[in-house]
Amino acid sequence: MKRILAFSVLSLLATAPATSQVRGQGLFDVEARRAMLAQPGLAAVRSACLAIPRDPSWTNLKPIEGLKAADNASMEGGANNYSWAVMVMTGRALAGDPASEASLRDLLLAWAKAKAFENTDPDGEAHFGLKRALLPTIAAYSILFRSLDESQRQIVSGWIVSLVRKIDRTFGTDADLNNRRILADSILMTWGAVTGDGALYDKGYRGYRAILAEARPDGSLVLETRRGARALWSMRQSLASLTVMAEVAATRSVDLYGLREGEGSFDRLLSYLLNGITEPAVVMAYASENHNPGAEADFRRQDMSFMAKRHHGRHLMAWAEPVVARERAGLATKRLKALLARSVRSDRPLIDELVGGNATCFWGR
Amino acid sequence: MTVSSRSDGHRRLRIASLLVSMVLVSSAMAQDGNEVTRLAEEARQAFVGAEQSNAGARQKAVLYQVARARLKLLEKFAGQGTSGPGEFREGARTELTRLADEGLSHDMVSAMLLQASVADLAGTQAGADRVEVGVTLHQIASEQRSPAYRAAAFVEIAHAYARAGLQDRALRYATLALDTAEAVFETGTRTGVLNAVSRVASGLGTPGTALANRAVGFMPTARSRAYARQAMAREQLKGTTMEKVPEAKLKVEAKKRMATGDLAGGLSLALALPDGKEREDILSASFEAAIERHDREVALAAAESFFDSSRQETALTAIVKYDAERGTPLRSAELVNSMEDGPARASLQLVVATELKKTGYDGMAERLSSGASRNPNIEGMGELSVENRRVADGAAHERAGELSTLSEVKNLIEQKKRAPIPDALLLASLGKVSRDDDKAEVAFALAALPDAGAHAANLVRSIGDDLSRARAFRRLAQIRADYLMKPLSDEPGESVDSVPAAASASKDDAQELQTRRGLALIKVDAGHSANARLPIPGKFATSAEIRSTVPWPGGAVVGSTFASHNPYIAKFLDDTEGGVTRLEQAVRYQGLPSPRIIVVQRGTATLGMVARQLQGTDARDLIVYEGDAVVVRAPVFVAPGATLLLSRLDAPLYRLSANAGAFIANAGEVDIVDAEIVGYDEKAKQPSWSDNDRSALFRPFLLTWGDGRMNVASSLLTALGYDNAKSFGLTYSSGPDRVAELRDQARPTGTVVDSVFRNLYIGLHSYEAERVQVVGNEYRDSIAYAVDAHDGSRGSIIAFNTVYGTMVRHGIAVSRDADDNVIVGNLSFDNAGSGFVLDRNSTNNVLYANSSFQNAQDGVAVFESSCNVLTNNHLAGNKRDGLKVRNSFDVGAYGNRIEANGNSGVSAYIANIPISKRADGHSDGSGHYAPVTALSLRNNSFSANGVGVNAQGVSGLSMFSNRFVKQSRRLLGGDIRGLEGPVLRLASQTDVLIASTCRPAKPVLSCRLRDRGYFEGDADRQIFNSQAGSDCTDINGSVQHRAFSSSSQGT
Repeated sequence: MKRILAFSVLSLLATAPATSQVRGQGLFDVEARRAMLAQPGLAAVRSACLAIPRDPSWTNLKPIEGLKAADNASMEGGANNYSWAVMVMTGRALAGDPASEASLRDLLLAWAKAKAFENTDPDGEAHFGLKRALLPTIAAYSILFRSLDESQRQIVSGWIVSLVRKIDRTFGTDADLNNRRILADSILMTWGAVTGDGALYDKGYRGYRAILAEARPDGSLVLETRRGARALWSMRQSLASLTVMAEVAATRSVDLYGLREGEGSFDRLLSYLLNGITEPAVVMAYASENHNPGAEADFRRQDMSFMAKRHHGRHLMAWAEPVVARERAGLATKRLKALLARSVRSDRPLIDELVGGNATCFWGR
Repeated sequence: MTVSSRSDGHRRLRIASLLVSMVLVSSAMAQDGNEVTRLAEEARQAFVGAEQSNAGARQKAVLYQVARARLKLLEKFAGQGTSGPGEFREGARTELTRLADEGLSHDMVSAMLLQASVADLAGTQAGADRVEVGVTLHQIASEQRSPAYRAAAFVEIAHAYARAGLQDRALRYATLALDTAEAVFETGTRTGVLNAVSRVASGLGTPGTALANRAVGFMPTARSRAYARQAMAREQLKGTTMEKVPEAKLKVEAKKRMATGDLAGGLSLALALPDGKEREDILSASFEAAIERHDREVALAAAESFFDSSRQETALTAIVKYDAERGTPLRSAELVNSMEDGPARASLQLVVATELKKTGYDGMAERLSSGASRNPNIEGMGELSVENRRVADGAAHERAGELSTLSEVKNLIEQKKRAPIPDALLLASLGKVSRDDDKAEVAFALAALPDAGAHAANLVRSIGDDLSRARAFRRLAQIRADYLMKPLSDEPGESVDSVPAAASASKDDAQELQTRRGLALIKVDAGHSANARLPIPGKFATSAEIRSTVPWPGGAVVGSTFASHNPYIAKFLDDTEGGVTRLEQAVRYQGLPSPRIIVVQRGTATLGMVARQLQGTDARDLIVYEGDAVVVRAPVFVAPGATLLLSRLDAPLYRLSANAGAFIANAGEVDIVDAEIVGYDEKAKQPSWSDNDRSALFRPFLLTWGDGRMNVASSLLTALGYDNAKSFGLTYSSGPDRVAELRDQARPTGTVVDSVFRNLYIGLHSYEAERVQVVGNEYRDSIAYAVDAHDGSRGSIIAFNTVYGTMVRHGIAVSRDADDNVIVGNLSFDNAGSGFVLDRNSTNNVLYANSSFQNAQDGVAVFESSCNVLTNNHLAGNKRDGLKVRNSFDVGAYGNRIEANGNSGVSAYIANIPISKRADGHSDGSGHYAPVTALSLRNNSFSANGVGVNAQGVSGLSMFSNRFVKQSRRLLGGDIRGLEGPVLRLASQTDVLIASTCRPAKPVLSCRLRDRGYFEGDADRQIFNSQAGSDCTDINGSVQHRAFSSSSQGT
């Protein structure tokens, strides 16, 4: 009886923050971050927010009616140009660049009014492109929130709501369960947090717990590590979205980094990735399944290109910024910090759609 | 000092200082008593230290070793059995969880360690260093706990050896990885292991390709198979002129090769092409051509390469059908087993199940397709069916003549039932019957006649087809037994020349007549007939029953090891008297002092499957396909819990190479069903025929040890066994001692049914076996014995076998403390020794309705074996005696037909027999016997024997209601000669006991047959004197003394 009671209390504690209708912060507490960036101690980080210049032509980016299955998320153009513009200007706006803030507002309003992306193909690949564009859009909305009037908020948020609903669907493929599902959950959770929509937030929260529960005892994820040369790439992708969810929860003082489901925990998944980065051969236990590996058919050649800045400016290790910034105890964080210092820091600012934009600016220390 | 070595020196210095600091920290912490925290911290420090980019591979390895050692200690502290406070154990567990969160688990750190160490292999020159590195790597890999990590480690080592140019070693590790795959629980991860194996193996030459093919075959999905085949093909193009040619040229070359008949070459190029219609078309063409040319390997490779899953499934189904049509559906077992559950697999299962059902393998069929509708079970392969054969025969004219002959012979047999006809006339008529099925039909008709059993047997003996002949013999034996089971009094047309029973005989009750020869003639109450039905089973084993229970092959783990590593085989490395080991043949063939053996470790494998599984390994030469035949060139061991299946559904012929020292030793289960196994002389290219002169030369054999079971059904076994313990042919034996000393073992057992054993040293030999059933087999041209239930074997059922042509000794022998065996309805004839022998203290056995005729010695011989019942047997035309009883008492012979034996119908005596010696020259105790003979003869029929009953030194002979029919020569002989008058007069209605006036002490014996009422009357029990102190052989003037002192007769 005591056990049942204890369990019930714990359950309440676990779900209470998820369902509370606190005014949304999104990825981070925007005002607090604005204030921090104004401090001299974070001058370097503020510089990182402003490191990429605004391109005036971005204001004229033509809204995309919808994404097609053939659109390649890794290529420049189309949705990628939009995302890049949004991510750069969001960072700049956060750091106090009024021109960028104005330009970003105009861009979002134009695309919202045009109902951009509404005609995206009902296809996993097309939806992946949409998901990538959504988190930067939500982050931008959070930063712009104070400068939008009510009608503008309605226009932009109405558009985002429509798109968020769109990505919350399944296609009967692996993408319903793998890192693309986690990405979707991170978007739902973030938007739920921004809008105070408890149901959306909870959905993401449940997704986070489910992923931890699915992890193998060594921290590997079944659907990611089987991807041949892309095993570590995919593990990293999952961790990026889990980090976003943990950060969103942290704005509500909920510690998802410390959460444990069975043997799964954020640190365990992170440590698996770090071990793989140190010695890629350790993922061969699973990677040799070579399921849908992408361009590289040789599963013994792990794609480690995520450790370097991409040619279109993104850095796929951007998610490491918030994790390191939290300075949590334990070897996992220390190792990630060492890795960041050793191999990634020189590439700052770290910008990536999967974390909503300029991670150095949002979380960096 | 070079720059690099200086740099190495610095690194070493840093590592050393790290280790020193660990020691300092640990001693400080130990003083605080926080051992667990200290260990965990040391593990972390070592792990992080190894991660530093400036650490060299060797330094990394040292640090990972430290981390691994600390983890192991923590695991030890966290274990359930750890002594000490609970907090300590909990603390260790908490630290282990924390470490796992930080990426430090046993398998992960070991994987890191392996990677840091594996480079040493390529950098080390051949020699002791490389061996040491190899041992270390092997240890790290094999200690990985997760099968996925273990398999990955084996693959890494395989790659390392391949890079070092050591292909055999690489192959060995690829094989280990493949073997490990089965233990991987997740289907996808298991597929990954198989993929990794096929990848590394495909670069290892021809054996590697075979291994890679096998790995691909185990993949569960069409997609994974197709991708793996394509990757293999591309791997194999590397380094060839075709590696970088444009796709279009590759297509052209593939088609060109196929057009010139090089199917395999053309296919290997086509497989490297990217997915597309043209590739699929080339594959289709390859597949069809391969099937047409019976090139199953190429057909399978083509089938597994279709990216389109429905095309792949169609092609695989065609292969399964191909195997089924060729009568070898079990060749498809791996293919069916490896497919993932779904409609495609169900479809294949149905194809195989239908074929198996048709051939009577019900158990397998139901396992494959439990929902399939039950088809009529076709009994046996090629069941003798007279009507079908007639219809099948197109030569109507010829057939008309044959039918006329058949009719003529049948008429003659009908005549013989009514009145005697000359034997010459009958034989001349039988000689005209030419067709096997007609011979069987005539033989069955003859078998029901009193004196035509031998003719029937000779007719069946001339049937050419082995299994048809065995079936006909079983049927003949059954008909003959049915006839013998009828009471003798039911037989019509016999004239009894004995003196009819005197009506007043009952008045002579308890009358004792002394004779001058030291005998007393005593009338006793005839007593009861046997008041219990003999312990004869109501139903006997059939091959259909065995066939229906054969398990479907699957889950087999097969490998090889060295003979000296296996306690079941190592026994054969012991020196024999000749100073060589019994594995000498294999030693010489393989050129190794401890030759390699094939091991079926677990699961159920066919021998063909074993051949296929070993093709990609360093044991590939030990078992191969040659045409359709599977040739075994090494000892095969079936481990406890494993099953080996030999069936023509797997391969039409199994050759065990005599030259290579092949044999099968079984401690699990071996099912030989519808199979043909030949001990084969590969140099002479013929079965390794043998005879008494060559019986010491090695020949392959089948042996089942303790805990083992071996079933043989409807099979043909030829030229097996030689004169060496446990190596006689088909043997069941307890042991081996090395195993029996360690644990209790079940006695070996099995069923041997409806099979043909040709020229085995001993057709069936058992040593401390239990409940072995030997039913309906033909044993021909055996060398020592046909069937030999020996040394404490008990509970055997030996029924309806036909045994003939044994070259040296007896047909069916039960010897040396072999008890409680039932021997029913067998035909034993034309053997160099006796038809049946009960020997050396074998008790409580029943011989019932057997036919023993034309043997060079006796029909049945009972030597030093008391408490046995022989009833309703037909003992005829044997050169010595019909029934011989020596130094045995409590022997009941009832209702036997004893005819035309050269010496006596029954000869009972005592003799002074030397104590038997074992092969090592020491007495084994089993030769102990009491020189006492006493038996009861009731309701037997004696006819035309040299003497009816002969007795010498017999302590007691009771007779009741025996008939002497056409016994024109002497009725009684030896000590009882001249007693015909009173015996015949009295014995028609009372038991007449002819007893020595010296009554011996009764030797100790547990006669369960008597206790259970299988003996008739008990007159012969009265011959013993409970007060006596001797067996009377030392009493001057006694019949026992006379006989014992004057004779010494061996078997």
